[in-house]
Amino acid sequence: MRAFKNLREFLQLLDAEKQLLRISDEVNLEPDLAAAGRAITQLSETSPALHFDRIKGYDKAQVVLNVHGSWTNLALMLGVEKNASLREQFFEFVRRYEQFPGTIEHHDGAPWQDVVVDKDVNLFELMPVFRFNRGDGGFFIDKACIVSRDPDDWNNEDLETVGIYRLQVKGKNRLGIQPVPVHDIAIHLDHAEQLGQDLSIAIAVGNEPIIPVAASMSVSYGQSKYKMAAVLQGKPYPVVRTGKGLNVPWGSEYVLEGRILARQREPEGPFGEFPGQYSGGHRYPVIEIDRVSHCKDPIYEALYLGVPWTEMDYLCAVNTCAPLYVQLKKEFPEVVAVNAIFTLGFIVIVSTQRRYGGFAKAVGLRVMTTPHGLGYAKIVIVVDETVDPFDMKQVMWAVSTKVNPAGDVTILPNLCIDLLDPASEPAGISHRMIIDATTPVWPDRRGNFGQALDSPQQTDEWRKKLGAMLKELRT
Amino acid sequence: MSPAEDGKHGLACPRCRSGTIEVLTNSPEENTDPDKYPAAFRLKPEDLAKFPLVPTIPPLRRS
Repeated sequence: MRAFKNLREFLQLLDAEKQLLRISDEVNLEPDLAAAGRAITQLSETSPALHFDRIKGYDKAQVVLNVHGSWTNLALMLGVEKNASLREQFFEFVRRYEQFPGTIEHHDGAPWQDVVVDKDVNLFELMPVFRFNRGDGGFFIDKACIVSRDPDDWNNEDLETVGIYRLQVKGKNRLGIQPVPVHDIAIHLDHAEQLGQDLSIAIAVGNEPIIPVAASMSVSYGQSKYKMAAVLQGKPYPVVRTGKGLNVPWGSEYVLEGRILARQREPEGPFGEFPGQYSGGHRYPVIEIDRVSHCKDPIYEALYLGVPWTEMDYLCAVNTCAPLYVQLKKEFPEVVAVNAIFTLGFIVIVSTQRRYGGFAKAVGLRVMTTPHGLGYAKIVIVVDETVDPFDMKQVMWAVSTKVNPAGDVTILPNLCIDLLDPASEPAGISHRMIIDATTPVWPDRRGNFGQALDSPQQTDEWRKKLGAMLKELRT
Repeated sequence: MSPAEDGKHGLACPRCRSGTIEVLTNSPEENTDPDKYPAAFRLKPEDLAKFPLVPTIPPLRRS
């Protein structure tokens, strides 16, 4: 287990582990950065982060991309074996998650307070913002941790949330924000707007690697993301309080302080989004930035977003699986593992023991009523406890041989879904589907599963023996 | 510098042809010609009013 004090310390480790590519050629902000961010995840599942420090038109700008963009970088972040499999990372993540809550460590000052701009803020000059995809309606800040609190209970640290929401840079100190109703910040904004008040927020850009992971988790309302980050890194999470009383990560590179303007909406988008489609345009809330603080020679962090797989798919993989698993297991201890790594969990695969016939469908229904499942989990596949949900060869075997569509496919009409799901109609409403790919058990007697195949005797011994021989052969 | 003065920008927004425009920054990948803007991303003023309003604005609480 390992905690990193800031982004720079993590980049040093990535460098030492040959997981950081430094691009020393001069590059254009557009389209080079987005193109490189797209290309790096097309190369491998073990890709490095990218660091740029010669950007045309900027004296000292530094940009990093793909910090979370591989299983290897995520393993290094967690401080586990560099080649740890997704399954191993999942169970280690769950073990830490179950220690919740950790503690928040308050500091009086932080390096991001070194440079303060509180007059004539011009985000275009202060940050090397750029467009990711050619149809984007503007420049977006897409990997910022946004901190908000509930105006009805402002001093309650547990109601403070940290989330990643896309921000469109619409003016020198003006941002559009996408707080879709399934996000906690939408609750805070709703309360502020009922009071007719602006909602003070803080936006932290360029962070040590664990807070973006916690920020993009669907935890229960009232579970502090900082206390989650603390258990994930095995150490209290350091923060500094802003003048408005919001906790901001101690290690951030940039901190933007401002307000979501009460009861205002403006056109926003389109933006190339995680389902591999542009979002279209919406009338979303607007932020005015009053103050920008940053470290000396700050590092700007972003992620390329587009047709999966991109950095976002790695960032929102294990941290999407773990809460679903813990929440499901609370009521159904038979659940063995949950795979929700595809497209933010629009499809979820659960392996479970079956208490009795029909049980798998009940587990599938419960997935859809978890906090994350409310907006995702459009398709839930349930497999036996002997099937590894992280191994697609096993999952597809189960689906192809255990499913009889006559009784194993359940369609639920017109449920809620993230409005970015391009297949939803109207946006935000979709049918959902449970595919029961488990072996029927009493009293469900359908199918012909009486003669299940197992492996020949001594297969386990031979696997160990051959595995050792293979290792020797290849070293 | 006005958009017309810098000689690089058109006189209308490439997306919706609005005449109210302001140069905020310059990019090496600019597309300022409304006729060359990809058709799927063009907008008419009436389209803007039809954009879904998200999240909905709640009623004010009675004090």
